[in-house]
Amino acid sequence: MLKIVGNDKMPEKRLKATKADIVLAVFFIAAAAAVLVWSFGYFGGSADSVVITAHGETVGVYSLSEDREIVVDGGSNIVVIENGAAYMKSADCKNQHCVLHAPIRYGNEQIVCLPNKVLVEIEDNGESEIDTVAN
Amino acid sequence: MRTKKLVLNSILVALSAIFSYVEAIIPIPLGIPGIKLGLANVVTVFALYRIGLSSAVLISAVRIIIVSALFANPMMALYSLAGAALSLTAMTILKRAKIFSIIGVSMAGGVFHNVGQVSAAAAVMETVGLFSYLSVLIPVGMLTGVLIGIVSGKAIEHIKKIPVV
Repeated sequence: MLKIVGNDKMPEKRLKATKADIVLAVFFIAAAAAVLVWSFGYFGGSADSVVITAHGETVGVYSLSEDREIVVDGGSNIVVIENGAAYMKSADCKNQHCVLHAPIRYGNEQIVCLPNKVLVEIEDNGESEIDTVAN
Repeated sequence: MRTKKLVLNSILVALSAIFSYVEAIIPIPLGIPGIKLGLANVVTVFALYRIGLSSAVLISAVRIIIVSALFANPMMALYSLAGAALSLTAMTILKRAKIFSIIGVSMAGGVFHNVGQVSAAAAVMETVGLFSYLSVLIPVGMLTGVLIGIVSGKAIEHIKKIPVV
């Protein structure tokens, strides 16, 4: 006989949230909020170029001010630069998340194609958006 | 006894693979890439509570390999395996603390599954920007984890009455 372990009198088996569960939930929400705060600082700087990487190797660095189309990895992905923003025009992967992604134009913003290991990332030039506006 | 356990594990692998398949063919678009309920984890949580850690590890690993080979890109198996490994580690630790309910344990499982996947993806793609997804994926993992925990708890309550072996 296969032993079925545990019995229903054990506290952790009852189908009711414990105090520890609530504490853990609060901790997770705080962690998510911390990530959100970090994101606000990390993204959104000014930028003028985009870096494309495939399988960990740099395909190229391209200026955002020059409209063009870049074929990545023999056609697995096609990146388009248009009106100062970059987007994924096509990808041969199944989920198409990267193609559906909105165009990116600000520092550190990225479009990722996980199945093909392709990363399109805006290069943050270190200046904040406010400074650029002031200039 | 070994044969019975083998058969039980195999049945649970098949069941969880079907759950994954059903989710793959009926996607629920939530507007955020890659988010799903993770119904197959009902089987993982059930196995963790009812059979033991080794079965839970075996069942999720075999399921991920089968499902990835059949319906997904092999790269995706790596991310799933990283998520499952971290998720099972977290759930085992919390379960042994004996102060968390199955809902809390499963909630942590959902959160750490997403943390594991994002970490693996960030490591492979060599970019920290991916971690920003966690601001959404942590709450989503909590929600799906709680739902999975409730369903698993209900399953455990009912299935004890059935002479499985």
